[in-house]
Amino acid sequence: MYQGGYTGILLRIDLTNSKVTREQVPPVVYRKLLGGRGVAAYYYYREIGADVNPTSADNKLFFFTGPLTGLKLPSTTKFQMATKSPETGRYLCSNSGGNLGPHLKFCGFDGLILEGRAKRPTSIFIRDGQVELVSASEYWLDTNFVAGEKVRSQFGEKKAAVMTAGPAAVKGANISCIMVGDRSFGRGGGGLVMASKNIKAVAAYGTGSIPVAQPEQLADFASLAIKSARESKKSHTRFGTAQYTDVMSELGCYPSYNFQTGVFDEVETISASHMVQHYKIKNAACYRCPVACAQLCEVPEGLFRGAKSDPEYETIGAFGGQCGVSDFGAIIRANQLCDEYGLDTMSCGTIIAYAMECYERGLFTEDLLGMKLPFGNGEAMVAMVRKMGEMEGFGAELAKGFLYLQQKYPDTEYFMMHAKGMPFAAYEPRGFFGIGLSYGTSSRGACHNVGGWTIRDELLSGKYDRFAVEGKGILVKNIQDTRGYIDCLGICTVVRSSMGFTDVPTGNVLEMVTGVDFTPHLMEIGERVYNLERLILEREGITRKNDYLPQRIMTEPLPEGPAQGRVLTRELYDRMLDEYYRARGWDMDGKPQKNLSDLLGETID
Amino acid sequence: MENRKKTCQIYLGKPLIKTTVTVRYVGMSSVYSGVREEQLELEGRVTVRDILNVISGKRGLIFSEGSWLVLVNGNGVPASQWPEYRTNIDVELSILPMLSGG
Repeated sequence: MYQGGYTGILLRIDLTNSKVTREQVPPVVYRKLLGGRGVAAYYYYREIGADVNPTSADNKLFFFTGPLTGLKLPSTTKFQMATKSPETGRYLCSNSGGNLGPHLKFCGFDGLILEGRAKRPTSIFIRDGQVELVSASEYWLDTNFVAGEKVRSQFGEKKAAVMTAGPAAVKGANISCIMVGDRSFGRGGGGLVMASKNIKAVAAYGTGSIPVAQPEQLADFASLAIKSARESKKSHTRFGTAQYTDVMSELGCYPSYNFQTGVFDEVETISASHMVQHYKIKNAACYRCPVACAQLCEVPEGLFRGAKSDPEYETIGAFGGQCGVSDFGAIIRANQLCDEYGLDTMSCGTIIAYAMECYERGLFTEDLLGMKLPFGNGEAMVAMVRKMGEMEGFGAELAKGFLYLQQKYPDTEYFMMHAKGMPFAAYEPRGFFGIGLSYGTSSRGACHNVGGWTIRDELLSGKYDRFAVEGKGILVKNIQDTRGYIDCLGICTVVRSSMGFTDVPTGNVLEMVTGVDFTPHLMEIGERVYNLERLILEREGITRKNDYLPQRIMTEPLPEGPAQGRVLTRELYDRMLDEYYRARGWDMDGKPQKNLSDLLGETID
Repeated sequence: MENRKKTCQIYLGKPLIKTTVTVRYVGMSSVYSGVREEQLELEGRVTVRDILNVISGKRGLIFSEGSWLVLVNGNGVPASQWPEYRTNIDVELSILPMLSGG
């Protein structure tokens, strides 16, 4: 059916029985869900029941590439993961860059499913079509980068792509990520799921090629798309995603001091221009990316001298504004520790900010925390990151995430900034009401990507007042659907418009690759993915009551800046939510009116 | 705001209005322009496009669709509205990098 883009084969590894099988992915699944996030959600829907415990052998990890992953186009780096999240207790989707997705394709596989539990610490080696399970005992507790090197050495190929579960995952951190080289499946605790299966690493190295339907046309298109991406994203190359830091503070939308305000008074020293001037060493790029937005930094002097990492906007937001830390060196070090231990920087920083506020309000004592933890103290913040990575003292409590903390410390619930257990991103919902709805309705809990990044439209389209509610339900749905299909493609969102992938998709690159003209159906596919995910969430107990935001956002006005006095009240939020449900065709309790057969057709049960 | 003077003079029988613009260069726009903030005075009631033309001449920034994000008193003004959007005579205009996703 497809002349290129897909191998059509997924690799399933039953770790309990060390059994490897190869399965055909039904072509209709690709036709309806395209790849990546959509196909991963499809297998999750079929195979993970509502009662499955995230760290049990019954949970599975579903990794899927998209039809563009690994091709000679800009930034074809992405692959997607679905699993039941230890952090939220529900469905999780996550994406990663790096080069493992492409190598999976070069090995002949569109996807990889890990199920069961290995009897002992194990790594999985995929070399072209061959699969081998090997002992990981020697580096089971090693940090990600050390383990990664040992895995490559054991594999015998320096260029092998590797993903690892870090020591935080091995020790039970619900907020642990899966590192894919220096990129990651960051959110939701995928690292712990992997470690709970006794899997330390997956390494892949493929030498095969991916067929495409129209190779000559695609080559011509690729050179234009690369040029366009490079030209249009110059600022990403020069400053990375960090360029939004002072912009958001200027707009009064930069969450600071655990969302107590939207303006960070010391934003200058954590801004992108300061970072580039004082810390940047060089750019780093994901697979085939002409933009190279990652900004590798090193601390030249002071307490954190020699620390190296590439902090993104979200990481700077979590450890900077949120924790009130203006020492960029501390942010670089905290980011580095997260990468080494395998912690999600966003959850980690936001949870530390919560602990800082609890400390300052006397709810958490120095004895309990094992340290003084005031806002603005970079040294204390870094020390707490280390404790969380080591799962030591109160760090072990914090690393279990907000749902756990809610049960254990109910008096502090007001200060937990999350939706469905997922900590907020670094955008203030009271500064952009659409972002509030994005956090509330995102299918993995508070997320500006899966939930829909509304800021550009709210600020710049001329159609919306950012503090108004009318139209926001439709806007959020539209952006979610756009993101929904983009997450199925296998490319990075930074370069998507250079290939015509917007909310009004254009061009025919998918036809050049697969032989099938998906373009007119892409928004429909995105909507289908979102409906499928909501069906999963509904089965896991999610209804309207779970789509709300923390009390602080809905009752406490912002104290300063351009959004001063703004609060996203329940009444305002309900109006957006009603409009959103209507746009989605769900009932007023947030329940989809379609089932899987309606979504995929009767050929799929 | 108090120290920014609104001036209205009588000149050859016609009112000469001056628009005072406080321009704030945020993020990389301050890197490219070399300043963080400055005040401009333009004659008459002006449009956003008029102000941007002055900034272009002075600071070398190029303003086209998708180039820079322009806020007037904290609110975004899309490029399509620059030619028509008339500001007040005392206005704060911010220039920010174009937002393209989080």
